[in-house]
Amino acid sequence: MRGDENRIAWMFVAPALALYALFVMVPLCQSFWFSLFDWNGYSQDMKFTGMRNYAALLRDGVFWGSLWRNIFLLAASLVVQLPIAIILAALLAGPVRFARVLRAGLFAPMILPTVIVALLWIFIYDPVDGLLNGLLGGIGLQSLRRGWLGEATTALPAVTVAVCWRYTGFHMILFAAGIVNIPAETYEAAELDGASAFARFIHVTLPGLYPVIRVSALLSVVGSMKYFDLNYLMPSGGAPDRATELVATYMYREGINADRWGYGCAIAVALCALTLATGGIKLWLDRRRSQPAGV
Amino acid sequence: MAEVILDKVRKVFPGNVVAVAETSLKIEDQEFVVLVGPSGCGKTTTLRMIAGLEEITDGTISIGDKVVNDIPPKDRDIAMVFQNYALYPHKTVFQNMAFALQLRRFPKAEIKQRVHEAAKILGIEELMERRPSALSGGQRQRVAVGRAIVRQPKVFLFDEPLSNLDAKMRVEMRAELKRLHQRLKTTMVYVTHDQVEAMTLGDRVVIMEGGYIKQVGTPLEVYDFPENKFVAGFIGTPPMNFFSGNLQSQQGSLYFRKGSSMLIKLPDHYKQAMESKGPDAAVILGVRPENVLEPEKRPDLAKDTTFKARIDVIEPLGAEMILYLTAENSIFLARVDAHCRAQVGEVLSFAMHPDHMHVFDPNNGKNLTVAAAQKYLRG
Repeated sequence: MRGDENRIAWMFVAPALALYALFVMVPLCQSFWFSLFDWNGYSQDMKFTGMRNYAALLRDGVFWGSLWRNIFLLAASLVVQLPIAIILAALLAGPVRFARVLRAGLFAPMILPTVIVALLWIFIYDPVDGLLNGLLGGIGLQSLRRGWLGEATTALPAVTVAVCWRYTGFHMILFAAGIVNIPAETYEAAELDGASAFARFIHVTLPGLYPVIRVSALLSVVGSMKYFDLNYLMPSGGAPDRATELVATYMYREGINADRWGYGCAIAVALCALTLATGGIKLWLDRRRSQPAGV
Repeated sequence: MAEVILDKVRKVFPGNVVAVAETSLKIEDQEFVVLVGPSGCGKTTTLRMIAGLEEITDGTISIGDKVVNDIPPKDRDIAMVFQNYALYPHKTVFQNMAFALQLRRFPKAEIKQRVHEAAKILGIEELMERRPSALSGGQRQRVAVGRAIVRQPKVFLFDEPLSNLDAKMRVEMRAELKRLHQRLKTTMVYVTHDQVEAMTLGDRVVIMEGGYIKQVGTPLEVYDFPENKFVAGFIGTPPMNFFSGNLQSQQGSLYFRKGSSMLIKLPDHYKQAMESKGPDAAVILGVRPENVLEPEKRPDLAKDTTFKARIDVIEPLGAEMILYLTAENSIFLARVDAHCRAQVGEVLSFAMHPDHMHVFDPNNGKNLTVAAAQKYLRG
């Protein structure tokens, strides 16, 4: 009986597993294989170099710089993006006029094509007639006007703002769904206990959102580690000093643009390992924290 | 300690949905009052208005000597126990019970003392470090009650607190709540749809239907002297039997007639109450299952109220037996002695207890004989 059940279960899982193996596991193994070669990706000239690409990667300052920027993006996601999403979700869960419209508006960046988002923010940051510089000029802060995407110090924060703006709505929707699942009676009990709106947020909403916060944080961690889109598109022509370079964009530039397919594959494998490791650490920490008390 | 007064209170929800029609009720200090009725009768809305969780459309609510219409829930000096416990899942039992006191900046020592006293009363002292997820339903409910006790409020409000418990636990908690009331001597308002809970817990029971209070009285009053057909049918398990028929005068006596075989003499003290009803007027006769008698056991009472009925189903309950009977196309129930030798399919004589018959107006459901019965039985 048990054997029959297992066979049926495998029959259902098999198609998904086959596709996963074909489009994820096989390319991953191939990447690792290619990373052991000095190869441009298309010539017959494939030179086996063993782990030399990985050794070079460990000494590559650009790689470490890119990784640092990934960590910056990750921190911004966790420290800025998620709290803003939680606060927005909590505010819009209350008796707010046009809450649905506002929610839809905040979610809209998520469904816009990445290129459109990039263009939008390029216009905002335009050094000559961009919205941001216009606003700064309008309120008398002429000295702060600058080419936001063209300067090494501001390019990364500028792109990070755009990334956070894009994904805040998505996380807000997750948190809004989480808030709906918190029983109204718990809020009412807190109200009767004498909790102010802020105290209810701290003592009811936030703890009630823990499971969603965990999922959102995991998505942010994994997403930040492998992020590519806006950091590649927005500083059109590239920011000075590779100011917005991430591991994924560096991998693309090395593997595709610079014809160093083997080295690019080594970066890809390293990126994959880093993403798995950070995701794994995050899950492990969550599991440790969620041990129930007093059972 | 405080009385709760509802004066012409109304609640209309958007879309002109009247949840509570103009309602007035005085709950005495230290009284245990149970609001009971079917779903949608307005009992929970009434409780929530007392708590301040629902705005009042019209009227005033006073707690103690203060009108509380515009006072927020936290300042009404009330505590509420919810149906689904509404405990804070991430806090321990101690933290759940202490939370309200912490928010009110009570000294730590007093918080500890109050929480431990409440825990002792409820027998949950050993659970203080557990989270709600590690508690059973009964334990959670005790914690919810404990959270209310530590506040030492003027009024306790209970919103169907036992609904989520299994039958055995419900009976246990019912007795505990009763003991708690006797111990704390605080005003308690309790909402339930379970009439057994209402009867066993309440000093007085408020029966509601469709946003209206149908009757207020002690459990025995509403059971013995229901003012209308709704209360008569709602209170009591099994419910009261109803027979639709007509009045008939015969040799100076008043009878209830249904079909050709059911002619029941109504008590003489009902005559005056029936005067307004013309001869042959349509009425509904109500009698509780325990007042459907076996004539041979009470020949003194069975005189003039005997009729034949067929036994359809027998439910032996151990201490007693419920018979499902049919007479004149009416199905009704009799609660008889457990040793009754009735057989399914048999047609036997039954009688109605003359002192416990109720005659209802079929148009408005009003009990036409309640005053006469009260006067007669109470001397």
